[in-house]
Amino acid sequence: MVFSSRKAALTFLLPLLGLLFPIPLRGQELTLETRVGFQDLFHLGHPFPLTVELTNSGRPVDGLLEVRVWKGGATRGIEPYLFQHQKEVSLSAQSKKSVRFTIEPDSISRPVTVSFLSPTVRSTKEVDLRRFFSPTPLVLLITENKILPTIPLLSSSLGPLVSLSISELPDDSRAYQGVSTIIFYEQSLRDFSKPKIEALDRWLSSGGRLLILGSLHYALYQEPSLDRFLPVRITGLKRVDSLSGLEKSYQIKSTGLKNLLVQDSRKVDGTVLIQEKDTPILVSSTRGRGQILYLSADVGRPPLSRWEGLPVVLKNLVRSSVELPSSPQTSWDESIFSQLLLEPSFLVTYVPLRSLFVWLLFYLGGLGVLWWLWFQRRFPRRRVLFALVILISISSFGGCLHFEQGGYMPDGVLLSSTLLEARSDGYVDTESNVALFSTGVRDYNLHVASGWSDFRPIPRLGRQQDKVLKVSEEGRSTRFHFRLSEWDYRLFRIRSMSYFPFRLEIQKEENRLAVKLANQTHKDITGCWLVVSGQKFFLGDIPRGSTQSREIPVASEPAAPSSVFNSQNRAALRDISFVDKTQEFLFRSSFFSQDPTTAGWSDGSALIFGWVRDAPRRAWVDQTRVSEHDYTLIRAVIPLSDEEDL
Amino acid sequence: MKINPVLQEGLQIYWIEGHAFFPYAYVLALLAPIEFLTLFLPAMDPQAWMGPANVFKASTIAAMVLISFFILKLANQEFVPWKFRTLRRWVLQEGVSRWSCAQAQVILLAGHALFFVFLSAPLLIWAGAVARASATVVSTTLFLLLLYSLAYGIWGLAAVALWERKPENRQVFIRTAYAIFVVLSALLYLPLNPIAYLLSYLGGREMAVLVIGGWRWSATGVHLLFHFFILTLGLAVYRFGLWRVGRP
Repeated sequence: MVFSSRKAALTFLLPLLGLLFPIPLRGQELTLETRVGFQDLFHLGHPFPLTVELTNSGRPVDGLLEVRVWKGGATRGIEPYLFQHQKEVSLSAQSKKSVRFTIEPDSISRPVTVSFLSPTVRSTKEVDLRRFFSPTPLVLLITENKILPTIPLLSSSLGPLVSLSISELPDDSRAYQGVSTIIFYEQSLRDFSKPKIEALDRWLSSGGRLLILGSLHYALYQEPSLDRFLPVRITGLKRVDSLSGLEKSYQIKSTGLKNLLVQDSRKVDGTVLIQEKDTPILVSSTRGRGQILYLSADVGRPPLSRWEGLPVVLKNLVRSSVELPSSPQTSWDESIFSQLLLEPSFLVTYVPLRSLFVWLLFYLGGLGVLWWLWFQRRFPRRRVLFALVILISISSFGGCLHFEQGGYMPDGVLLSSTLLEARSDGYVDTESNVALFSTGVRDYNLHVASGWSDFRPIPRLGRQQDKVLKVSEEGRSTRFHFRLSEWDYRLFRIRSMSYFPFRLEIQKEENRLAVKLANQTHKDITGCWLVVSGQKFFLGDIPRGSTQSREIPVASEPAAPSSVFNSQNRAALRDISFVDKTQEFLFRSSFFSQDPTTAGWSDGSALIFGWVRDAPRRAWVDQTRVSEHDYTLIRAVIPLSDEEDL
Repeated sequence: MKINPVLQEGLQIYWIEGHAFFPYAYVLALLAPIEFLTLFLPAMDPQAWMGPANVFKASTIAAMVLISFFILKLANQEFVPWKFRTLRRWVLQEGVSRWSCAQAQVILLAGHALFFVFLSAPLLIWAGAVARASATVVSTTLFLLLLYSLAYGIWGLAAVALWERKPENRQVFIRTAYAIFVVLSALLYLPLNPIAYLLSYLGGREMAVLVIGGWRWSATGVHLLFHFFILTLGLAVYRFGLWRVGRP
């Protein structure tokens, strides 16, 4: 046997080296794959879903999945900053996981960076969004098994049509903002999860359009998940001789559209636009800003699928644009908040003014007493001197401890002022202006209740902003993490649409107004006012669940000419005052500022507003020693014609 | 033990009779409202000024300006001047040595400085607590106030020694000195100025470094050296003035 020293060295030393310096032999253990938007399409300028597929081919790993998106820039009037969407991810060995984010880059010129960070694995991928965008909004078709039926929807003017199964629908309402219409056709919603239903509901109320196309499989339309969106109650199928109403409406005459089966139903909500022998054919209903359309005929099967007028009908039913956010109804910027910070009513929330004043009186009063004792010589002067030392010591350290440890100085103040703009169907456009003010250097977690549609930091002039905003979804809220230096603040504007059934009816007669207020919400509304024709009327409190009717005499003399800048109603508002001066400041400076561009009402309207007591929280922080203050005002603007209601 | 008669006279007039309590009261009576109102009163630009954040800065500057002014007046014997015997009398008639006179007057000056700073301390500590200033910053500020009081106050003693019989000259001199120390020093080099230095220190900003012939001097070093120089120079002038007492 021949002994080779080289072989021996390799046999013994290599395993030893392997033990000392472990080198991964299998290469990368984790791969990242991304799916952008809906089937690789998103509408430019709107949020969209980004799905990250994680494939772990190695050992179990826990890490942070992060999507970095650039926001701001010249078009937004704010310095570019990073939005870091984060999610803690735990991957078992040899496993796959799919994580969905909703992102909204303000520019697609910079790629989105997706990275997985853990102590053992680090994987990064850049996604160039320029390959995926669509300049027009998307139309989603939700069908069973994603099979595109023979529906002549493909019209270039309507935007790209994307066919999806319900499992592919995101459960974040913001992800739908680039979608103009969602079409349901022969789709069972039995497995539709509650978050997805809620997301769809929010998107609808924020201005989406839902088109529900009937089918011969009518039982699918009787499921509660779909039934909640339908403006009709499906009872079965019915044979109709023709769809003459449809043909008449679209002025398309056809000989083949005869003797067809449609879904039989009865209306529960909305307006029947077309009907055949008491059977609703086309029904429309509204939900907030959105619209639901229901067509009872089966467009995927003959004879309707072969009808030459069908493309025109569907083009009319499918919307080609998305609802753009209206301009802000409130004023909220640095100048307003910096003024508010110095308002004595707000100052006391973060400076112990009263106790400081008491300490000043105690100290100066004590010195005065000692001075008097010194001259009176009632006590030995040594004792008075000793009392002076005690007084200075107690005042110095006692006062300091009282302010710092006694909880009189919060680390921060969170102010949210929310305007609920009431709509006719019980929905409200919600605009929350939030300020987080810090008296010391610290990190903050600002939570925003889920359902928000827009979250924007307000730029601050001449001040370097923190360039990173970390975002993570946490169940019923979205958490924004950022750092504030001492005596610094950040301002945000949050918008959403929510259901808050505060209903008003106003009937205008010759010299009086009949006002009916129904508070069907779970919150009391206090300090209600009606402002009309330059006159103001105090309506008082409207407790939850109550309805009040008032008759208000209105002056009949012709109104003085007014301009946008100096209207009578504005003048009337100036005379209204509140006990809480912070409330009054927000009322004058933010809710009803003198900026005419932010007010959506005029002298030809009646304005009703009131404060919502214990309004549902829309923004909060999870740190202790942060005092939170919320002011929520609900208002309704009712154009006054002969008879109006809301 | 025989107590220094000059010191005894000072103790009697200033503290036993209580004539020094008036300048102390003036300082506190001005400082307290300044501190309290700083929290409310908006400055020219409300976006740049926030009262609670600046209450410690404003109170410290106010305390420095007030203490410096009133300690100069005290050292210059502007309060009840008729009650004090002149240095000439102490030296020539009472036989008190110049050294004893100097010792007594410097001790009295230090006593005033301590009283001013200790009486103002609670107000400054509260302002520091409201403005979230650290304990180190508050302590350093109190030390600096003590230093300014001594460095500027010694010139009041120098004025008394130089122009004992000419109170008008002394008043003009100490007010000029006060203006130079507190205001005009900024024209020479900003870190020499106590207001500028305090604002920079309390604002957490570094001031420009002084470079002379390749030597780099930190702003803090230059500031402290300048004030020790003022103190030493004041002592030297005071000694010269004492030396001149009773000489033709």
